[in-house]
Amino acid sequence: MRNNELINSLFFEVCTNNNMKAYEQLYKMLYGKLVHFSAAIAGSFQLAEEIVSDVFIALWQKRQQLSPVKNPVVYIYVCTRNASLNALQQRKARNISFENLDTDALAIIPDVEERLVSKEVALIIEKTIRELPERCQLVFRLIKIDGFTYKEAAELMDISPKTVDAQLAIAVKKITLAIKLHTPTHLVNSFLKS
Amino acid sequence: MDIDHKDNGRLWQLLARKTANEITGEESIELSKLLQQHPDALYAQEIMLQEWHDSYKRFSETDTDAAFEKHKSRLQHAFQESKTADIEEDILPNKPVIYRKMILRRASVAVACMIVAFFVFKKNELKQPGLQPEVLQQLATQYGSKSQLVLPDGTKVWLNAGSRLDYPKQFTGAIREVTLEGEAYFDVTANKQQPFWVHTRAFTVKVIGTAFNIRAYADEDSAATSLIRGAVEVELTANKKNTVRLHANEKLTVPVAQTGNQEELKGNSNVDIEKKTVPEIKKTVVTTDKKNTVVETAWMENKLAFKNMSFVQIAQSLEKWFAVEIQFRNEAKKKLRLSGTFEGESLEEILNAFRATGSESFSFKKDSSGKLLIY
Repeated sequence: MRNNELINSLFFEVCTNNNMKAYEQLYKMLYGKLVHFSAAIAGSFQLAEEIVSDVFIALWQKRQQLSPVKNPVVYIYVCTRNASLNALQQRKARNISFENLDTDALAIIPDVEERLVSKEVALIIEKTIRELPERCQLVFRLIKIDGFTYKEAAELMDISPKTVDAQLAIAVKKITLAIKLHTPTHLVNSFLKS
Repeated sequence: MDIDHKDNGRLWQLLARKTANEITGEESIELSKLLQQHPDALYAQEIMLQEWHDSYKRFSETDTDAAFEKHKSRLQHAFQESKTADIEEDILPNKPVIYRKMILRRASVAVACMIVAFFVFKKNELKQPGLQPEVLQQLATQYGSKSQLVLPDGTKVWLNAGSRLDYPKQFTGAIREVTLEGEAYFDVTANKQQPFWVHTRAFTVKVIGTAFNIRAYADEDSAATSLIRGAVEVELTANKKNTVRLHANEKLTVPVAQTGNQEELKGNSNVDIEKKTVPEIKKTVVTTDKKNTVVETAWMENKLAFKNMSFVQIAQSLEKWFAVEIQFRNEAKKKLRLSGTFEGESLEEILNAFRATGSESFSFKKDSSGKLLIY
């Protein structure tokens, strides 16, 4: 889950008080998610790690101008998106879209520790998501892992919130059908009773 | 009706909104009615709402810490070479669309942020790299006094003189984390799902449920943890990959001079780190005296216990216990090895006992400012 209030206050600390500790905490909170997001676009984890570092270098240097930023998380993701697209353009010199994403970087899976799903079913869920259109996978990931609202995800992907809603519904449908197909009825019933 | 029926579009839409936390109250009622007809979807909903994680290249806390260290040195280079203007122009959105709309509302938000931020950071500044998102509470003891408290999870903590413990109001995260400077004894309530971590400058002690003592004063050149029962894992701050497992009655001592963390971004800090050698850590058994008192935890029973310790180490304990400053006017006396267990004796009585038992004697007196001089 994303802690927006904490991120906002950390960002505020960085911008107004040059607080290096807050900067470090912000970096560490967002690092893994941003690297995955960047790698999905740029197609390389190694490159993504550098990109995220570059984004934060720029953030530190521009910090005094950034206090009017309304939504720091979206802002940092937009910076990361731009940097990743730039890197990709330099690497491949071709048109950019959210159609050619690295599905390894996007792939997510339910925790099995919660004992709701078996390892096998979790893997089937992952496989099902990987078979979705890449744009749809990105929507699902941004909602589920990065904790974005429809509006934020839409802004980041340059699509409408309605499209986000529709794409997420497709993902939810496919996942539910896959779960139904691979979970014996008695397991579902035992879950429902408990 | 079959779940895959094309009329189920509404079900998927509502399930999606529920997953994204975008569902309205009315829609929520509508969804629960639909779910009654489709138990499979109800099960899927639970999976949708549970925790998920990356299935490829999951970053651990250690990975993230390492990444930040690397990032810090890149940040320094960026400053030195000051060719950063290019990076900025490339990355930062030129049109400030995102934030333009918000400026009017900012004033009130800013005040609220400032209050929250001030509270969080005032506490965090005192702390270690393992920053916690919770608003922290703090218990501190003066020299000459001790304290006891029960943490929100039932863990009991005894805090020795001149010590400070930072802990959250509630343990909400996956890990129960506290930060200690000074000496404390922990009796941790067992919880396999939520391990208990104590951060100190030299190391982090990771446990599930056990009892142990930590001595990590800022002014002493080594830090130690002693395990009374159970098992713990100790992760060294200087080298996160270096984890030591301790069992009951074992003690780990780590030199602190070599584990100082960098607080500031300094141009030559990398050089400093390279010069430092890997800390020499020492694993021993806990010490007991003639009466079977465990020396490391004697302070909890209001006892002062020393066994074959150097006078300078003993003086550090006495300073905290009696809230007095001790100075050696004769360097050689610092190395005297002394033993003794005391309960209720005054400082003068303890020193006289040492004078009578040590292989070599010494003198002491108080100067006009109340400082104790040893020569």
